[in-house]
Parts: sequence; structure tokens; C-alpha cells
Amino acid sequence: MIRLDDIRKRAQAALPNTAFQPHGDSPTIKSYTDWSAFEKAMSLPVSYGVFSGVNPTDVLASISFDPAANRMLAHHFANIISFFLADSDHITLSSEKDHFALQHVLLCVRNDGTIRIDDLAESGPKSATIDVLVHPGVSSSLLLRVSGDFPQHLHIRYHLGDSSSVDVSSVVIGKNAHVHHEFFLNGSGASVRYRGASIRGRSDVVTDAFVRGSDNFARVSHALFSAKSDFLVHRGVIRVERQSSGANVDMDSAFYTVGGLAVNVPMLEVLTSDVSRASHRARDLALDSERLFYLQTRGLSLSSAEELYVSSIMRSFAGDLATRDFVKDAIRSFAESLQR
Amino acid sequence: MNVKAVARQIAEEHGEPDWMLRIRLQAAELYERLKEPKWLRGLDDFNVEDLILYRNPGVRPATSWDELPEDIRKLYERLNLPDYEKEYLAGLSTSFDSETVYSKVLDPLREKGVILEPIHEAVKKYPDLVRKYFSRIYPPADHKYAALHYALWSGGVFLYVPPGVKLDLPIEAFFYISTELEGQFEHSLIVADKGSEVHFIEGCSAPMFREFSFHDGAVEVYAAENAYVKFTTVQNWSKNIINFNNKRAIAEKGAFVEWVEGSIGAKVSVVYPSVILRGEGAGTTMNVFSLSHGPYVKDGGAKIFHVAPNTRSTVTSKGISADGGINIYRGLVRILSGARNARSHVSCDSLLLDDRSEASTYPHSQIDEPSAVFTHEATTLRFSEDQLFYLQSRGLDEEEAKGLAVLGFIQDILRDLPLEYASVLREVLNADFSGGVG
Repeated sequence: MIRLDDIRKRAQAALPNTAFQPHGDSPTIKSYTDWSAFEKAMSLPVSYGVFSGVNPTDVLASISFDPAANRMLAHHFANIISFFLADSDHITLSSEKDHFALQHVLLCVRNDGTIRIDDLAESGPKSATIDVLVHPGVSSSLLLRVSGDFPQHLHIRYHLGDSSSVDVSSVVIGKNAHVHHEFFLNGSGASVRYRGASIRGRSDVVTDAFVRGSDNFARVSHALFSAKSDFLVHRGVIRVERQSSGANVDMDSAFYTVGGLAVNVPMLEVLTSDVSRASHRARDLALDSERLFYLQTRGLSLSSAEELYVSSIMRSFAGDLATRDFVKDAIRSFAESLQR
Repeated sequence: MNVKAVARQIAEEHGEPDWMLRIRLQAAELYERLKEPKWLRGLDDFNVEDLILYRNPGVRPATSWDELPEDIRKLYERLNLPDYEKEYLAGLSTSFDSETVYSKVLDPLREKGVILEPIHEAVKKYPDLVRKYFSRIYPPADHKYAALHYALWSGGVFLYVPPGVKLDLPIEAFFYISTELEGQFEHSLIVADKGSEVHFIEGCSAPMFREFSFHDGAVEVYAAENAYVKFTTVQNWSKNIINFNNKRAIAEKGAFVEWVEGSIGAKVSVVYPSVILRGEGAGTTMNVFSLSHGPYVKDGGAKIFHVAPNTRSTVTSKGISADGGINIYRGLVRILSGARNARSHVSCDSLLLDDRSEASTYPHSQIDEPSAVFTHEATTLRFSEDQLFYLQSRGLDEEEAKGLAVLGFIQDILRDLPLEYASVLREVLNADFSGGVG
């Protein structure tokens, strides 16, 4: 039986000696997220949002925690007082002025459907951890919005059972956002489709998938849209574990930069030859002169052609979020920054 | 073991100038300060303290085979080096343990100003030329083992090709480690002046020991304006060598650096050739081939820095894992702001021959220039039972079939090797898959 007290004690013991990024000692990678802002935020009083406390030990027993995996999680678990067991199809995780907001959501998906999550750091810094348990045979869609002006750390773990699937659309518009998706494909026939976009600002999006079952399917696509002094990162690994068989996996990491720095690190680890397909790529989405010329020959002005192209590309990565106003605003903002 | 003391001993034995001793001592301090890279695999039992860090074979550098002690000469004859030199090479330099023992370039080239010298000699004979480039291309602070290299470097070669001189035949450097628990830290410095052309080949060998030995070499290449340098490595260390090699080139305006890195042997090999495209219109192609056959780790890749406008780079990597082998591609493409219209394409494929092996790819791109175009693509393939059955039905046994699959997989890279070296590589691969090597 996992007890919250035990988790908290382990995290409290580990916190002083745990680094923000204990894996990999590259100074470059450590700089992708501005961890100093999080360190500063950790000195603020903690707030827990509006959630009522539950102790869902039956849910906790089915997933594993490492409360000391990194400094942010250690701080999270060392201070958490309750878990929020969500049963809504729309969850808003907000923050509070002069506080460091902590939230931990356990999301048990028992039926097909769509869930919206808004992670908003609009009033202060925040850290949220979400465990999504997709029950066997269930197909779920998740629409995730991450935005805000304050440091925000979001860690989402997807636990996929037999024949379960999750289709994630994600848009990140943050000033200092670290978003970490972890997909655990444990069951036979489990599948994940992830599409995401980071638009302007500073964000570090990590998409990791651990393929452990038979006939698993994973498609991960993320695009960065940077301008001026933006600093956008997408990295992640698809790890095809030794016990898996017949996996079909692909990671697509793309960028469209009209300034600023875009970093793509799509990684692949294959530990078995029993794999149907394993591939990954990084690519440049920028409008080349031939495509631009084609659009201009159809009567569009230069600026209209660029805007149309950016809009269509960004919508393809924003997925089902593309129709929401905040994505439309972001598209407009990026299109305006295009250099002539 | 005191790295500083060994560094002083090497400097003293070679009568090195003060500036070189300073480089050594600063590097030794860096080595003490820098942290161990935690992400490397296969180095759990590795400890520099166990090694003999400098081993002088006591041979004066020779320019004819007859001047060498008989045992060393016979060793090189068994490796066919004198024959290769006669038939295929414009020059040859060989290092034995920690010292360069043979170095010779064809007379007509020497008369044109081509310099091929043991690097210890070059430090004394051409101090200004060496000092201008030495440790300026691959800095000692890059990582802990680069610092160790600069503290302890010994042996290796200095090659200078004057402006406009084009070498029709390659120049080769060959490195040999003769004992176990030995550290070899040779340094190759290649300077191709404006408009010159040279193909440099690097080869290596060691007998099979009971204990490991350690190779921590460095290669610095400077390609001046419009120069062309091709650098080919056929690494075939015995399978208990831990091989680090620190390789970097700078390409100035219009220069082109072609890198072919073939990695077959070694217990653990960590090599990422890198090129800084510093001048407008500079370019590079990097072809990397790596075989990990057995419980060995190959951690290789390529790093490219686009600094200037209109620079071009292409990376093709082929990694093969068999019988529990681990193959890792680790690459970086950095396109800096101002490198207008830079173009880079990276392609890395992995082939897994069985369920016990691993293939990982860690490509890293950092793009800071809006007009740049970058693409990366990678695929992991498996050698399927159907393919094996097909080849077996044509009369091949399992190992022969795997060997053939490997040769087919790396065909693109073989095309870039000189014919005679491609032929040797084929033989080595065939032997490897029939159990004849290692």
C-alpha cells in the first residue's frame, strides 16, 4: 500500500541533494529550462489550489512514483498535502499571486471521450503533476493548454493498458515553461498519438515514450515556432524496451524560426530487433521560395501567402486545439513577426 | 599516478619549449577540475589510475624501414605498411606506443614544401607554425579526457601542405599499442594551406590483451581558404581497447572537409568528429560507419557548427549492432545566427541483427538562424528472419548472411573509401562475422 506520508518523507529526504536535471550532465541541456526561476519560486509559500483532498490509495497502487526523480518533483512531493482525483472532462489548474501553486491530479479515464486541461500560470509560479490512467480498451483525447507569464512545471504521465489509446493535442505558450510528457505503453496494442506546438516565448517540452507491450503504436510530433529572442526546445526519447514486440514508433520534431533559438532533440532507443518500424526526424517547416512563389501565382500577396502557410502548418500541430481563440491569437502573433 | 608529473617528464624528454609545457600543465589542472562524463556507457571498470601513461619504445624517429629495430620493422611488415607506402601513399607516419618511430614523405612533395614530421620534432623545427594551430582547433577544456590528452600527448604527426599544392596520393598515420594497461595519447595536426588538397588516412592496431588499454588521441585539421581535406579513419583496435578520439576541423572560406569515420574494433569507442564551418561557403560531408559486434559499445556521431553564411553540411551515419552490441549515434548541428542560407542534412540509420543488441540515436539540433534549412532523418532497421531465410536459401550460412547484410547496409560509406581500404574493410567484416577477428 502506497501512503502519501511515505512519499512525502522520501521526497523531503531527497530534496537537498537532488538536481533539477540529474540525468545528463551537459551544461547545454541544463540551460534549456531557466531553473533558477524555479529555485526562486520554491522559496515562496505553497498554495494548493481549490482541490478537496482525497486519498485514492487504490489508484496510487497501480502506478509507480519516484518522488526524487528530480528537484522539481522532490519539491512537489515533499510539500503536497493531497491528490486531486479528477472526474471532470475539463480541468483548470491555475496559480496564485506570491505563492508557488502545487497540484497533483489523478485522472482515471474509464470511458471514451475528450478531456480538456488548462494549465495556467497567470498569477504566479506553479507545478502540476498529472497521472492519466487510461483503462483497457478506452480511447481518449486530451486537449492541453499550457500558458502563462510565470515559471510553470507540468509533468504528465500517461499509463496505457491493453488496447487503450490516447490522442493528445498540446499548445504551449509560456514565458518559462517546462512540460514533460511521459507515455508508458504497458499493455498489448496500446497506442499514443501526440501532436504539439510551442509558440513563442521560452519553453522546454519533453516527450518521452516507453514502449513495453506488444504491437504498440506511438506517433509523436511537435513543432517550435520561434521569433525574435524566443528560446524553444523540443526533446524526447522513444524507448522500445526489450520486452516489447512489433512496435511501430515515430517521432517528428519540427521547427519554424524567424529568429530566436529552436532546439530539436528527437531521440530513439531500440533495445530489441522485434520492431515493426522505428524512425525519427527533425525538419525545418519554413516556407521556401518555391512554395511561396506557388502561392503568389495564385493571387496572394507575399504577406497573405506567409500567413496562410503559417496558419495551416501551425493548425496541423495544434490539432483539435487549433480552433480555440488563444491558438488563433498565437498564430496571428507569429505570422506578424515574419520577417520580410 | 600524477598527471602533472608525467606531463613534465614528457616535456623534458623532448626538450619542449615553455609554451608547450604551459599547455600541458594547464590541461593537467583542467583534468583534475573537470567532472567525469556520466552519460558514457561501458566504462564502469575504467580507471586512469591503472594505466601506464607514457611508454617510450626508445626508438629514434626513422625515415627508412631499415633504421627501425627488427621486431618493430617485422611488425609493420606483417601489417603490410611498407607495401602500402610503396603502392598507395604519398607519405606515412607510424607511432609505436607513445612515440612516432617512422615518418616519410615522397621527395617531390618535400621539395614542394610539404612537411610530414613527428609532432615532437615539428614543435622544435616549426614552432610558429605549430603554435598557431596546436590546441586552437580542439580546445583542452572541451571535456575531461580532452584535458587529459593535452596534458599527456605524445607521438603523432604534423602535416603541412603549402598553398596550391595538391597531393594525388593519400598520407597515412598508423598507431600501434604494444602492451596492456597502456595509455596512448598521440596528436595529429594537419594544416592545409590555401587552395591545397590532401587526403589523410588514419589506421590503428593492437594485439589482444588480457587487460584493457586506453587510447585518447586527438586530431586537429585546419583547412584554409579553398582547401580540401579528406580525413579517413579505419579504426580496428583489438576488442579490449577503450578508444577516445578528439577530432575537430576548422574550414575557412570555400574550404571543404570530408570526414570518413569507420569504427570496427575496440571494447568501447567514443568518437564524434566535428567541423566548424567558419568561412563563407565552407562545406563538409561526414560519413560515419560503426560496427558493434559482441558486448561492445560504440558511441559515435558527428558535430557541425555553421558559423558563416552559405555553409553546407551532410552527415550520413550507419550503425550496426550484433550479438549484444550497443551502437549509439550522438550528433549535433548548431547553426548560429548570421549563418545565412546554411544548409544541413543528417541521416542516420541503424541495423539490428538480433534481439540482444541495442541501437540508440541522439541527434541534437540548435538552430539560431531563420534562413537556415536543417533536416534530420533516422531509421532503425532489423535483419528479419525472412531476409535471413532468403539468403540461406541461396547457400549462405547465418554468419555469412549477416556479413552480407552488413556490407549492403554500409555500401554508401564503402564507396567513399580508397579501393584498397574498402577491400581491407570488407575482409575485416567478413572475418568478424565468421569469428576470425578479436
